[in-house]
Amino acid sequence: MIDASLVQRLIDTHGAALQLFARQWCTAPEDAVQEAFVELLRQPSGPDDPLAWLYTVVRRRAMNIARAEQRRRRYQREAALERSPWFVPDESEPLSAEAYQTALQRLPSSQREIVVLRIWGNRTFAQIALTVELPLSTVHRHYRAALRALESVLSTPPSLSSANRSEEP
Amino acid sequence: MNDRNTPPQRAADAHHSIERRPTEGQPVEGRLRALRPQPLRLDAQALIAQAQAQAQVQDTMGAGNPSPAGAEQAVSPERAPQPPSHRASGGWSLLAVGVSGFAAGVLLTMWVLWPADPPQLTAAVPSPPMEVQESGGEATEVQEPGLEATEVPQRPGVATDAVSPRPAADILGVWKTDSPTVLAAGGVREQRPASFSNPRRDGHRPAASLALRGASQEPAQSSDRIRVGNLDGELLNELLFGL
Repeated sequence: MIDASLVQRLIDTHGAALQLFARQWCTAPEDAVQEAFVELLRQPSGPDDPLAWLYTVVRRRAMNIARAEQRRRRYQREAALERSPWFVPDESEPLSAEAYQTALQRLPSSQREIVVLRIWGNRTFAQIALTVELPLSTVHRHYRAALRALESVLSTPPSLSSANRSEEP
Repeated sequence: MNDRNTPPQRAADAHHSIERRPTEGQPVEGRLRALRPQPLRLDAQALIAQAQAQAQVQDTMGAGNPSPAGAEQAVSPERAPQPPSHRASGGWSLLAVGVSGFAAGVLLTMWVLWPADPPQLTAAVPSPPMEVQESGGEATEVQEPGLEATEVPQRPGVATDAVSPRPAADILGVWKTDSPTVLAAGGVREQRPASFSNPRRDGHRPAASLALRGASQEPAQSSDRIRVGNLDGELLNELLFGL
């Protein structure tokens, strides 16, 4: 049985990454993470790797919530995505947290979830491959392609980047 | 034996090589790592209380403690074992296949067990002679050996059709008064108009050809007077050709 101390440690250590990971699909990532933790607490015997189990369950829960959200109109979902910040603002960073969020949102979802798992989840490529159910080489290829795309987007001046963004439908 | 050539070792080497590939050197990766995602505001005690409440609700509903398989099913319903597809589509297709197979089996059994040569009913009932030959301008009947002409059974609808040409001719309008004689099945000669001749009974010859042949072979006997309704042939010729 999972005890409260382990759950609290998981929340403190990986809660933010789990929430960011769930945010890739749905606009209510807190619900997906909370449901995953409740399911973890209801397990009669704890999983061997609770963190890997949590990432897998959070991903499925977020996808289920996203399916329910598809009933809503598209502009409502996009407006909700715009309102919720993904990162804590950092004044020392030349680019704003919103610019990084915008660059990440431009990535395909298959690449974006791998970037989130790798950078903020600190997962190995093998663990990512198990979570996203893709071959290891495919995961690595997606990751490198995502980094190249982010590099090209984030290296451009913010004004040009925002101009390109405004041209998109 | 070199362990580095075994497949598991090669897979492990490939895995380590992928993990060590120089993605760390990309500057954008370091900048991304510097970002801190929004914190998750969840309390472990609240989560535990929620999990206990859900467990109590399940206990009161009689579900009992969820088994590991049930928990996995609740977590990932898309991975739950699905019933076979034929159950989802209803049992009608299976029932139709079963019934058609049973019917096919019954038909096959009947085809195998049924006698190949059923009893010949035609031996008890001799077929009436229907062949008609003409020799010397008169139609003669070829009878089967051993059967008298009066003993030939009459087939209903064929031998007894002593059709009076007059009413039908009134309806049709045209007939030949002197048509060749044919023998009825009962051996009785009767006058039958050519327009009412049966091609099958007349030896597959058209009625018109039979009538023309009879007219050419019996010029003295037949008057070949054509009647159209109540008009005489000569009057008709006068009207048509001015003869």
